[in-house]
Amino acid sequence: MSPDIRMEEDKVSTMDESSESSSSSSSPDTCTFCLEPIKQDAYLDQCFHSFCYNCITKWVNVLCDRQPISSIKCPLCKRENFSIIHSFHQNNFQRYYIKKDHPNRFPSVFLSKSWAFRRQCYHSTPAGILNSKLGIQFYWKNRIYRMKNIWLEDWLRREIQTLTENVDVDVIMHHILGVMDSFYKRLSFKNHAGGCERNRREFKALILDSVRPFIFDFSERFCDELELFLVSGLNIEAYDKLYQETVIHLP
Amino acid sequence: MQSSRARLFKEYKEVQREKSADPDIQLTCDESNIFKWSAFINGPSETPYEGGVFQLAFAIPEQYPLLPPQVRFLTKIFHPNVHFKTGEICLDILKNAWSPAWTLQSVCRAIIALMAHPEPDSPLNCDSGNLLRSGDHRGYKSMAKMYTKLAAMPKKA
Repeated sequence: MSPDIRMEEDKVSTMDESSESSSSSSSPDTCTFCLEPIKQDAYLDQCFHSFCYNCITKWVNVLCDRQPISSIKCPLCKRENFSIIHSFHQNNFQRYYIKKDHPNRFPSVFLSKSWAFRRQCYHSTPAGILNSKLGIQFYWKNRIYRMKNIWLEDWLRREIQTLTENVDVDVIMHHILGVMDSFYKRLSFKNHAGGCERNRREFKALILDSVRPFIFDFSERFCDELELFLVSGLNIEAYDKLYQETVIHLP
Repeated sequence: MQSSRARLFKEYKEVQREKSADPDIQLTCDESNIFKWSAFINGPSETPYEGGVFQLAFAIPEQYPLLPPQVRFLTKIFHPNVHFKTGEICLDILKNAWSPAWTLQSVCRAIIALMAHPEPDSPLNCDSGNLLRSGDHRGYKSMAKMYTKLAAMPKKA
């Protein structure tokens, strides 16, 4: 970023501080959305106010959800802005436009039906509605987990995005995949046929520990959902369809 | 969901830290539910609400701060922009002009400002709005003052 822009940014922040003397400590590096130090800083293109990339992305998605827009008012100064500048690397940066048909438009994962559906599942659908439809015991007894599930990565990414409300979750996804991998490896060494219920419990406990720092209260539900998805052997679309059909027939 | 909780926790800490910063606002969080808050605000001086203490109830949505908190008066108040029965508040920043830069504390301040400067052209309480719109300021003031005395002041023994 050029130094004059940086100065402008500082000037605006000090103005904010003087006008809101008694309010929350609005230091220049605090994101107005999460009130935490700004992570992956993203700037609005006109007023150069900065926010966490994830926070401002979510806000733009909320506004776009209400009506088609091509600009947003800055949450801090109300100035109209047309794009968001982020991911600086020396002289390079990326830019997302708010206008809907712009070729470099915002990635709006949270607007898509699939994410909204999963959010609803986690928030308001009771757990375990697919338990009776899928052969969980059969899966563990016959060690079907040895077969690779090619849809797992995409499924995990969507679930974690839904639950953390963050776009960039690949680190968490690879962490979970790593935990699963090492668990399967250990199982193949041990090779005890009778302990399938124990394997299942151990698997769930491991996953639970690995996801709790990221999704907190949703961890247990997530473990159940992960098991069901694996047991189902379905792709994401088919799995969602089965889920939806089951939800419709709930009493 | 998690981000709203984290942000509310930050606001809670800020409120605790600056408890005496604004003597007109006492903001507290429900002990068992961080999505439920309440506030006592002092009626602004040189208004018919002066001397009254008004209680507000906050219900905070899971998507906060992307969505505004729902705020209503629990204490009865005669004001053009407050529903007389439900306590619902008509204030643009709590609806379409919401910005995540607002906090619960600053929302309280905005409500105090609204008490001092009613907007009779978007009334939720038509009787109150009509008094002001027809220019009967004395009528509005005496009604508002009466309800302040009845509902927002300690009962005299």
